[in-house]
Order: sequence, then C-alpha cells, then structure tokens
Amino acid sequence: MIEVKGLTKRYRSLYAIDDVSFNVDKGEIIGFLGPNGAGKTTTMKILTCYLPPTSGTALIDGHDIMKESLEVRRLIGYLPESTPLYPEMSAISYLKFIAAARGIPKDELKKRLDFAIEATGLRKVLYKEVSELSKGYRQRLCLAQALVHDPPILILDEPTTGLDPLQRIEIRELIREIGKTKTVILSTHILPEAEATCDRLVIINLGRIVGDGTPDHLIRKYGKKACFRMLMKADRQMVESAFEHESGVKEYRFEGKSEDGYHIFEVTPELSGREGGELLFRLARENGWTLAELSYKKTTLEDVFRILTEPEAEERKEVA
Amino acid sequence: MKGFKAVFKREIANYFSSWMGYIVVAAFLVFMGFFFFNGLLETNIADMRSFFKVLPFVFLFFGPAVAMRLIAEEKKLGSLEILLTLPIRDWEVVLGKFAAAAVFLLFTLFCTWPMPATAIYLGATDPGPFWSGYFGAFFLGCSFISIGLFASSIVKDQVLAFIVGLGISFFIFVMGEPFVSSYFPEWLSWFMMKASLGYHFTAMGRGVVDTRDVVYFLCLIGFFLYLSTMSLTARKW
Repeated sequence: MIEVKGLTKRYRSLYAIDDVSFNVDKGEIIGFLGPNGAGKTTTMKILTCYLPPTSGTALIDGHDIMKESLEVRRLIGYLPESTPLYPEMSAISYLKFIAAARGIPKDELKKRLDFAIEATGLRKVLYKEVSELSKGYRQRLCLAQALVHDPPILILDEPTTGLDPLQRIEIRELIREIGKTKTVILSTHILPEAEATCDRLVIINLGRIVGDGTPDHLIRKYGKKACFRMLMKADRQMVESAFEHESGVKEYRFEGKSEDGYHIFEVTPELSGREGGELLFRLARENGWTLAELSYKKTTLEDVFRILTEPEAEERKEVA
Repeated sequence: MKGFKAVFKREIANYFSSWMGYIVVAAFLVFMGFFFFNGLLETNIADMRSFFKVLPFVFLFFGPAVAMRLIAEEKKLGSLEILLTLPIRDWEVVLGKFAAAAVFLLFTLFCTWPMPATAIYLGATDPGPFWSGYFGAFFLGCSFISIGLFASSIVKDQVLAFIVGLGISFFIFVMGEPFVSSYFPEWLSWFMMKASLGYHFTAMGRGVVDTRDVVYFLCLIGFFLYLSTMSLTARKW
C-alpha cells in the first residue's frame, strides 16, 4: 500500500532524513518512533505531498508522490502535528469546508460528516468556534478532518499529544478500530502507546531507519540477552573480580548504590532463564555476599529504543 | 474547481463575518466620503473627479490591507499544511482567495453609491466618467489585491505582508511619473510609464474604456496571481 524508497530530504547541509525506505501493507498500523528531530514529521510531510524529497520517492497505492500528487492526496487523510485549524470557524463549518474542498458529493455528505463526528465524539462541540475548543477537542476535530473522506490511508503525526490519559485511550481505541479497514502510519514518542496500538514499528534516529519490525521482533533482535538485577551488600571490588573470573558471566555492570546502601549490579549470564539465575545465586552464596534481591529483567521496548537511538550511536551525516 | 469554490466560500465568509472586514469598509467610506464632499464644496461642481483622484491612494492601503491576511496567516497558523495536502491545485487556492477579496472590493465600491447619487442629484449629467471610473477603480483595486496577495505569499507575517504589498503597489503605481522615471534611462522610463498602474488608471478615469487598458490590468493581475502560485509551489523547490 505504501512503498517508501530511498527517501532523502536535505536542508542546506543537514540531512533531515537520509535514505529512508520501508513498506506498509494494506490494513497495517505502523508506529513511527524516534526522538524529537529524528525526521518523523519530515517523512510524513513528504508522504502527504506537502514537501518534496531531495531524492528518492514513495508510492502510495501505486501512485508516485511526485508525479501523481493529486491522486495521492485524495487517498490520504492527514493529521499534522500542530493541529492547525482556522480559529474563527465553528467545528461543523470547518468539517464542511474540508468536505467541500475534497469534493464529497452532496448525497454522501451527511453520512460522511456523521461518521467523522461520531467516530471522534465531536457532537457536543459542533457549533463552537475552534478558538474556544480545548486541546483535546481540537485534536479530535483535526482527526475528524482526516477521516471525513473515508481515506484508505491515514497519516497521523502524534495523534495523542496534548490529550489527557482518558482521551488518549479513546483515541488509541479509535485508531485501532479504524485500523481494521485502513492503513495507518502514526508517529509518537510514547512507547507503550505504540506497543499497544501498532502492528509494526519503524524506529528512526537522526534521519535514518534503525529498526523495523513487530515489537517482539525488535526486542528479540536488539534487546540484550536475559539480564538480572542484583541488589546486595558486598565489597564492590570483590564482586567485580568474582564476575570477572566466572566464565558463566557474560557481562556485568555496576549500576550504583541504592539509598539504603545496597550495590546494584546488572548481570548478563551466558545461560539464559532460570539457569542463569541459579548461577548468580551460587556465586553470591559461595562468596558470602548478602543478597537482598535477585530479579529477572526483561528487555522492554524502551530498552530497545534507547539502544537504537543512543546519540553516540551514529553521527548525523553532513555535507562537507 | 471544487477546491476553488471551497476556498472562495470560506474566505467570503471570513470577510463578512469578521469585524475587521467592516472596519476596513467603514474606514474606506469615511475617507472617500470626506474627499468627495470636500471636492464638491471646494469646486462647486457636481462630479466625481476628486473622488476618482484620491481613490488610487486610498486603494494603495485598502488593497494590501484586504489581501495581507490571505496566505501569511495560513502560514503562521500552519493551516496551509492541511490546505495544500488536500487534493487541490495550488492555483485553485490562490484564485479562490483572490476572487473572495475581489468580491469584497466590489461590495466596498458598491457601498459608495450615495456619492455618485449625490452628484447626479446635484446635477451631474454625464454618466460616462462614473461608469468608466468605477470600472477602472475595480481593476485598480484588483491589481493592488493581487500584489498584496503575492506579498502575503512570500512573508509569514500579516503586517509585513501589508508593508511589502504597499511598497510594491506604490512603486508600480507611480513608476510612470517623471519624478521616478527620470532616474532611469530613456528607453526604460518609457516602458515604466506604459507599465505603470497610474498611467492606465488615469486613462480610464477620462471616461473612455480602452481595451488596451483592460488587457493591461488583466495581465498585471494574472502576473501577480501567477507569482503567488509560484511562491506557494516554491516550498517544493
């Protein structure tokens, strides 16, 4: 449905995005993740034909974004990041304006408007001016605007920013619901949200794609091996030298001291699962460490995100 | 054309629902009324000459003021991003906004009807200069609006758009006058006179509607609308 091929956008000497490629299948919900300034918004602006790429292109349902821009724009519903609406218009007149500009035929108009209004829960504020609407309602109106022509593709730039937790859940459920029949790309930097809403995640950092796959796949691929957290009272040097000499310990890291005086270590044994835990317990017993806590630390999406987007991981390419 | 219609309707509603629109009309009427009745009393002749004489200078402010918001505001709000990602061509956006401003101009000119009515009541007989004068005024106003629209498309701020629009409008209006054109080589000053708005407006004010003047106005308007469209498209360069 969406085929992004080698998309690059350069502002003077800076690469906003650099050779970005990914595919989205029909009916998929893709989460576009990355730290601020990673290039999420730029990519979305290019896909919606607002900005042209410096090089590369994308096909939306077989239509080239550069050559068949009008057709592409017809297929897409777009929610920009800052919810830019006209402050002096009422919600309903704004929706009617968008519907008219999109050329929705008269006999379908009421049905389409009703759908967009019901889906986003705007009924209560229809006749209010946009300038009087709360951030949450503005966000909904903007989403309604993107839905009104029943597009097969939705591109949503941070659809849940500025919403309270309840609204967030509502919008998330709405996207899930819509996503059953539509192809959705949404950007966010709230990881649990992405995990809950999206079928697949594309992680972008400094303008490049650094990860692409389902959350489980990403965790398996990039996450550390099973890792344990140990809290204990023992001499730090002795513990470290014990880890150093124990061949069953692959990696360890001193995490610091807890408030109540325990040393915290993060240890990755060679053996995963319970056997790894047993080894660590044995080590503690043999060396006489006072072990207060030994817990299995599962790699979360957040760890993966941190690993993939570490600032030192990659320098942004600049033109000389 | 759906995009054109939608943009046009929205902008029209905007002009006639905002108090800013009415303030601009009211200010225009106060100015023009003052000069018209002042002219009547001073010359003791019932005609529209003084009206059409000051009109260009009032329009110099009116045109850019009416047009300044059109695109600059959309840039500032960011709403341009939604507008230009709708399946509408850039020229439809420009044309829709221009047409709305032109209709607003027409409405404003219509509001001056008591002035020619007074002149006729007081004994003015020749309606020719009235019609051609209004005709010319409409074209002149549209020219200033198209220039203002262009100014609005190249900057992000309304006030700046107004100043830039006023500057360009003023230059094109007076560039045919000796005090400007005498600084330029002869061939250029001849061209500047023929291309100046003032030259063609004065020609129309005499009561003759010459096709050449009409063609000139249409070309100038078209030129600036084209530039405005280019300036929207320029984000893609």
